[in-house]
Amino acid sequence: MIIPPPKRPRSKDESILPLINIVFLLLIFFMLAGVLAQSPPFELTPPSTAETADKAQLNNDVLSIAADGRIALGGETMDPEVLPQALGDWPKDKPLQIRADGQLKADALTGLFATLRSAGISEVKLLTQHVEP
Amino acid sequence: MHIENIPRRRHTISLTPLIDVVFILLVFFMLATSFTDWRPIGLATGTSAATPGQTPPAVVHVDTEGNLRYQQKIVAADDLAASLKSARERNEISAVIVQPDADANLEVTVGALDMLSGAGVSPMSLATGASGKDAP
Repeated sequence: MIIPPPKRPRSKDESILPLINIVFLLLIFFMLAGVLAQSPPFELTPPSTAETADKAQLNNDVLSIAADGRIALGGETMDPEVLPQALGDWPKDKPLQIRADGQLKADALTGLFATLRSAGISEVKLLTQHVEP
Repeated sequence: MHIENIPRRRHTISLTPLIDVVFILLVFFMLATSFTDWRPIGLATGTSAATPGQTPPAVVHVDTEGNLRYQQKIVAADDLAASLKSARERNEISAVIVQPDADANLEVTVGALDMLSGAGVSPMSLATGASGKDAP
């Protein structure tokens, strides 16, 4: 009769290894797939688009505009009056990303364009959220 | 002197602190990352002063309902996008200026911009929509 060799008792550490493998995989997935982005200091629902094909990564110095007209550059709330100073050293050829709430009056945005123009910014990228049509 | 060579049991590193740290990192990245699919629409703020006599820009009006008006007529968005695209290619217009009504919000305006940018119309600009007053 062949008696099978006694099984080595699995240590507690060894039984937890598959769990760690999965957790590591999840960790690496979230690190690589997602973007660590500055969230605006107020509630913001960007307008949705379906046709625009360009894609963009959110910059850290994005200009956020809430529905009631509050603005924030990066994560910092600021007065619209001090915006030209804050954008004083903005490079000429770099477009400014704008993330505005969908309920904002379009006139408020065009009003802000005048401020940006005086700060020397000739192109902006209005960020929208892609939804499947 | 006789020293006995006791075979030592190999010590494995305790995994519990490692898992704690990895879990904390995992939760941090899960909460901090965003997967929003951002689509940018390029708009000119209007710095470049157009010299008179050059090809004029096309002005598209957007009302609060999202209807597009071009040359005083309400037009379908995809037709307008296609015709503006070909007009831009033939160099009949220099740019497309979208002029939302005073009460139009950005969601509606972006709907129009989206159709145009999806058709590849550029450059585009956004004008202040004083109701009843047409841009030149």
